[in-house]
Amino acid sequence: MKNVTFGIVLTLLLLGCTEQSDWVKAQSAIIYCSESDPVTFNPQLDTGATTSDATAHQIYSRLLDFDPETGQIVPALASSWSISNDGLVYIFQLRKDVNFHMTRYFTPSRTFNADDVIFSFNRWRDPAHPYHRVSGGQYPYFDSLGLADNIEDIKRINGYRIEIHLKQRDSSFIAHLATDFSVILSAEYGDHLLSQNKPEKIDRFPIGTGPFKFVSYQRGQAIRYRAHAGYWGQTQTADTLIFDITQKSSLRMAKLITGECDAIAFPSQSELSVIRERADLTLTQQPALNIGFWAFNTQKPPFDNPDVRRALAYAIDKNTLLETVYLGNATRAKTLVPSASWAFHESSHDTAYNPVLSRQLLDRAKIPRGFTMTIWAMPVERSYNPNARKMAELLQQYLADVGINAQIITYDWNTFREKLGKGEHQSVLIGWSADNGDPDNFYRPLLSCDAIPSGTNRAMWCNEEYDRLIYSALQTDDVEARQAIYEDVNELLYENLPLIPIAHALRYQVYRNELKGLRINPYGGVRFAGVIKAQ
Amino acid sequence: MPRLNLYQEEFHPSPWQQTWLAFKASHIALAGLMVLASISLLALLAPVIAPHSPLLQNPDVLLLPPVWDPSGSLTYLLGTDALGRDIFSRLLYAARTTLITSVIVVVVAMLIGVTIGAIAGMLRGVSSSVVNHLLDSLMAIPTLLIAIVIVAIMGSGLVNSMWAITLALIPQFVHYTRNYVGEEMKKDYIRASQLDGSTKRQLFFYSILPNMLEMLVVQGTLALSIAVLDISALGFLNLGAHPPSVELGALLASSIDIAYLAPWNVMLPGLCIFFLVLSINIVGDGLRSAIRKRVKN
Amino acid sequence: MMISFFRYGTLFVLTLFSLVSLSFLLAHLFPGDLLTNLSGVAPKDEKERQLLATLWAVDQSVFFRFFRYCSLIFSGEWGVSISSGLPLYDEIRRTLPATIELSFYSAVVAVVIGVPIGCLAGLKSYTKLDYTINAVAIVNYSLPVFWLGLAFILVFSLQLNWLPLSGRISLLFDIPTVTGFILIDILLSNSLNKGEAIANAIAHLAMPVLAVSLISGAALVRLLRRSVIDILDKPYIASARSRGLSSSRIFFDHVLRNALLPILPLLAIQITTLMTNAIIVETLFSWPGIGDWLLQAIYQGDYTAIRMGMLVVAALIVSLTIFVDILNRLVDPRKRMPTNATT
Repeated sequence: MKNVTFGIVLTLLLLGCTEQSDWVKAQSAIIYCSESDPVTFNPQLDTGATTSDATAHQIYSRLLDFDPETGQIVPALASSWSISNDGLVYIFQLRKDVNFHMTRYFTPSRTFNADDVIFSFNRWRDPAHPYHRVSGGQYPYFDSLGLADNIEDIKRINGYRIEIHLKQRDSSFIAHLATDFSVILSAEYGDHLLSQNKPEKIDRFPIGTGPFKFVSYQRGQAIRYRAHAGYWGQTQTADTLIFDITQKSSLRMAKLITGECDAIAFPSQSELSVIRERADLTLTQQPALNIGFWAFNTQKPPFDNPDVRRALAYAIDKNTLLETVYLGNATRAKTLVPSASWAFHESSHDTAYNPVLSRQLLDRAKIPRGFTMTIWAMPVERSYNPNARKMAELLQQYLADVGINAQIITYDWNTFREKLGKGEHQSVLIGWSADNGDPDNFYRPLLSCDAIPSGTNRAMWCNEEYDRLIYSALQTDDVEARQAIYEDVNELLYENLPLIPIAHALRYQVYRNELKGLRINPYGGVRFAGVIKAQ
Repeated sequence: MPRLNLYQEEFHPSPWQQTWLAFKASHIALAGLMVLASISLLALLAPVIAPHSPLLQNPDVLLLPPVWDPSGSLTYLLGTDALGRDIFSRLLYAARTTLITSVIVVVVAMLIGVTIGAIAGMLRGVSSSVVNHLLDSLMAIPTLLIAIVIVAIMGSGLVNSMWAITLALIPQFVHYTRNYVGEEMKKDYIRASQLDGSTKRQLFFYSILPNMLEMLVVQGTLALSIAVLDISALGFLNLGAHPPSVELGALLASSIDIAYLAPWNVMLPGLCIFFLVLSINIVGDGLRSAIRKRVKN
Repeated sequence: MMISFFRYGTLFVLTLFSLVSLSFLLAHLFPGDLLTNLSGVAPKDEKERQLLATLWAVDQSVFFRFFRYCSLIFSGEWGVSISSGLPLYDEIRRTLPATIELSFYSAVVAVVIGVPIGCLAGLKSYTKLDYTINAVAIVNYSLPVFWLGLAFILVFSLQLNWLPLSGRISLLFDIPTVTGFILIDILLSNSLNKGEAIANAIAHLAMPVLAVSLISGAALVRLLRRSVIDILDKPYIASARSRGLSSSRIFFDHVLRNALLPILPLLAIQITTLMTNAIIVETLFSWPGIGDWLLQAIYQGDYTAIRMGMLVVAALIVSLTIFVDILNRLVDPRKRMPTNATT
């Protein structure tokens, strides 16, 4: 009897030893506290910073990249490129031996080649492409720029060489290929999913060539990634990357302090002073290419009247907003572009705080006292506006002083953007972070007619003269000529005021001292390649 | 020689006076009453006492610490918040809102609850049992859930959260009134009144109610402490008052973001709620002990 | 005995029925389109609308619609969440165990702390010890739970850095979900890091459980103290003493049971307070339970989620209270149906 029992126990023990573990504790992991759920796992489909942060530099690579230090365009999946003299043909030589991710839902059988580039571009460019309508068929960045209309053709010269033919010269075209949104997908994966009749999985269970591969996503909780062993960039990376989705910025900071997060997204201005005082946290900052503004829905009366918009601009004191909301960590905005951009003009006009004049203009425009309007305030922090709610409360006060009753409206971030896209707002506090150093990246997506259906033109403003001017600025490479054109554009904007520029904010990266290699990327989402955690 | 009786008549305190005397005897209960009275007075007189308007934003003095801190100032006794509003004034107005809404909620719940309870208590038979069980199970639903439903239907706001808490407090009053009335109905003096020919209504108002008042007061203080906690909890969860009206729980919630920078912003409203509820509980406790002592004697 | 079980069974069914009716009514009361409120989907085209309308019987009489509603609920087809598009059954299945776990452990800790201290206070009533205990109890009882939780976070997490302040377990542990109760899931799973995981889970449980149980425990202390004091005055205690029983004998055999009995009905109210506090604490500590989920639903206007979440939580609590009622009936000899005695 005893022997039998002993035998059984021994067998069980042995069985326990030989069985695989269900899970292991993640080694050399980095936990990043992000502020919201990504809308999708393909940045082609969304311009939001959350989606970019989660996917653009983690899961995917692009043909070209921006060097975060210098802003120069550097090779990525394209090892070299050349442009024809007339500026209409771009030739790209592609990198060899680039591996796609191997995950539990897909195993690639070949390395990256020209077919993948053509697949990725044609998806948003060609309405007849089998994947064009998948996951909604909206490609906001490309749609707002009208890029698809300008590309004549993309030719495959051989397995590692492609040519892009443009219809019209566009000096900013090359910059667009280096933005977060121009990612390269796997054509093989696309075909595989089509054969299984599950094409939408391409944006939910992504495959790319980036430093991390997708493992799992729990909505509202976390996104998990593992390091991609065959990454072409070959930097030393953490084994596991986890995005801990935490919507309140104070909670993110608290988690940073306790060590539950190694780095956080979008610290709010009031937290920066706390972070500066703590010795175990690192704060890096850089002047950024962004703008926070108050946009009016110019399709809804009375906001279609530029005098009303001007009156509202006179009603507010921008300096107070800068101090209270940005706590001095921003510069006052006169035009769309900040001083860091070459299109900036010191002499541009700006509105001043003049409540008396404001009331006069309102009376002239027949806006009675007690008129109600809504101010939509973002629920999330962004570098261009760390606390839209607070700013809205301040605006409420200023407007009350000129006899206008303002109501503050907000929703959770994705619902908010959805409703904004439908034009349900009367005015909104929001902003824009540039994706590249070209000033066109401010002027076109924010206020051009094309940008209304794609959702980035929050003022719903369409002005022929404006569109004509900014397109003409793309026809020449001469910087001085372009500067002169943008000066005219600024004057036009000052006369019409579809939006009131408020501030250009500094951009911050906050993390624990143990993280090495994390740098601010002024041209796009956060990058975790090459970041390791010292033990 | 017989002892000289200086008193012409003996002093027989009424039951209320007995309770009050017993209540007074406990120092703690009295202290609690003093605290409660002073907080209520301060809160109710908020429009008169408050040095600044609770809504006035002064961007020059953001996040000023309280007066006992070296960088504090006398004009802003308890410091300012992130928008430059005076915390002392906001606390006073918030305490006012919380207190008044809690009292209203308790009074309304008491009126409705006692009515239903009295009717239920005077019923007999199967219907009574069914009503009893149904009411008991209603008592089981947490306040928060009811509040969520009401806010979902009618939107958030102070009045809607008040409805939610009233609905949540009613079952308690019903339960205790029903029990009490049920017990009393079995007693002889009720029988006597019934034989005299009084209607149910007269029975209730003239015979039962006067005896029930004491129980109601005790239940009322209990309900008041629950109401204050619940209203501030709902305010904390942003289901209750929203700007520009101020409420203690909402005040706390809006200060969490700067809890590390300015801990007094978070501590003070919480302290206020705590003292309010504590004093109500102490008074309630004192009342209960006083009544028990009176009944014992 | 059987009769009372039958009565309770009927009561349970009746209450459940009224809860389901209430939730059906809510679907009509919530703002917005009825079909969206019932199914969770805003139909994009006519075909989809027809499909959903037939499923939820929107175009037919109220009675038939209600009947269809009941059958759908009981078969597990609960619709989808308006804001996330995920099936409600899965969402609730994911979040409810977290809340139950938190509430259960808080209840256990509250009883473990509250009952002995309450009895102690009752036994040594009107002494200095009793006054201290009573004072501490009434202070704890008056604390708003969100303030207590915040204080814990400020002290134990941010200042001392002893305990983590969010979630059920560190994200470094990816425990496969079997039951939804994290301690059980860790034990059921297979790994070399189990011990670490359990320690980590307990560290995450510590503050939320403490915050809730301190308040409920204080309530228990007061209840029990009052009950014990009342019992000690009873004549049968005096007679036990006069018979020479030792005090521990008296306590355990006579006082304890009789003191616990009258407070069983009051436990029902305590359960609801405990659950309310647990839900509030969930938001403070980012505990992924049904309370947090419901509150998010309200902020996003997710009416289907609110409706189903309400139904489930209310049903759970009502069942619990009925269970406590049954327990009360079973345990309390005074309430037992008088049996016919035969000589």
